[in-house]
Amino acid sequence: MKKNQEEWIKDEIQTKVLSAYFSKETEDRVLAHIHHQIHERRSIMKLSKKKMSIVLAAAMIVIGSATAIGAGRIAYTSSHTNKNEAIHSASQLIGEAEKKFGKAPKIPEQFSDGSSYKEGYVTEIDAWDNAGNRIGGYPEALVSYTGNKDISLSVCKPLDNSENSSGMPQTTETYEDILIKGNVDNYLFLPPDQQPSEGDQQLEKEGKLMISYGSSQEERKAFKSVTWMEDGLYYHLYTFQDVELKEIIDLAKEVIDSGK
Amino acid sequence: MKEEMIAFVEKMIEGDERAFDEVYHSYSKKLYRMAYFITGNQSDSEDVLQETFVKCYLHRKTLKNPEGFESWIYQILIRTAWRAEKKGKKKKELSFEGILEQRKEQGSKLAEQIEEDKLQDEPLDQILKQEVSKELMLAVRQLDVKYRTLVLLYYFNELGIKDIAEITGLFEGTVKSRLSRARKLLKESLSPPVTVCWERKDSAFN
Repeated sequence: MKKNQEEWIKDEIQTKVLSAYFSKETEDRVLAHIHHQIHERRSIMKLSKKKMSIVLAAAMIVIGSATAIGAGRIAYTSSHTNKNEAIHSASQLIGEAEKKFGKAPKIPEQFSDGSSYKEGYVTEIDAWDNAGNRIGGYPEALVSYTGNKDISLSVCKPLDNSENSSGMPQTTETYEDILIKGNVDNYLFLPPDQQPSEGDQQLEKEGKLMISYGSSQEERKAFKSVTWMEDGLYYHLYTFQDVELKEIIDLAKEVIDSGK
Repeated sequence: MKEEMIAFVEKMIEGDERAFDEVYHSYSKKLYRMAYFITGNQSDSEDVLQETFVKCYLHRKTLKNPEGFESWIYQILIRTAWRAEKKGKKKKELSFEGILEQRKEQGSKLAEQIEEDKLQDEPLDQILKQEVSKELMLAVRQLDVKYRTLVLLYYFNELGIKDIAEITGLFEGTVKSRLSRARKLLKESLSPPVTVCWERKDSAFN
């Protein structure tokens, strides 16, 4: 019996789709890449949750319509850094970031306490909705310092040149006419299958604790961060290390003084 | 979905990476092939597959109903493929009307070719089928990526309008009209010589 046209088209398309060759080798290679990507993004997402409010504002500006996003639709933010794309000098990173920002960010080679530039990246921060769709992006220069303190510096450029108001800072200080804001936030890292205690859940509801999953064991850490806006760029200096917030503020002042 | 797979998806949602690997091995081939149909090349298809599963794992907790996994991951795959297509779009797509015009011209050329092929040893019916199959796939490749995706979900995944609308994020009416236009184009690509291959039969979209 002859096929009707519909059946014929369906058969042809099914045959065509099924003819695409996908080898076991490709299957395994792609899976290895997937695990690598998951590991990289998950580590960054732990930090990004704190940075989400900043990026959320940025993403909304990029999209240009609050209604397109809707409050609460951003579920995650992530930024992908490829180790092969690491930039190993502050001057080179400044040059690369300038191409994205349209102006050179202040990125010191080292701090007076001995911490020095380790590596940096120019990245794109992505904002995702619940269905896993990317709904906005924002360029960022990200630097790791090592030595006396392991600290990170993120610089990004909000499109409207204004700072996002992400809640009341715990401490503020004005330096060279620039308002520096400081915060300490408590994080709880849990293995993926571990449920937080009721007390921790309550603290999370009250905004006093950030719960993050994916660590191999339960860990509690304080996240110290300092932010400021300068020359249209948003600076964010942060660390999980055991240092006083005042010390981070002093480093922020060194960033502000750098390049003068 | 089989119960065994639902159990793997449940474990994956809880963060079990071995279960995630099982899910990947069960779906990677099908999803790669779907990506290949949409993007048309191996490199983009691998990238789309990779990104789909990275998103799948990182956003696994947003999947509230494990039984809805297939629809959920199709949604991720398609959005990722569309994004990749948009990013890497190099060639200009022809308009729907433009393609129809081109089909007419190609139809005449095909008829001439068929005449030549009659002289060869292969049975005519076989030659016709091969040529028409090529024409069909050419027509599919010339479709805009969103139309092509609807064709894929309709003919390959055998999904209904409602499911396609949910996966693509389009209104049901939009899916219906675009699918109707895409199917019209595909059928145009098969005429005039191929009418000998089948019996005509009306469908819901004709």
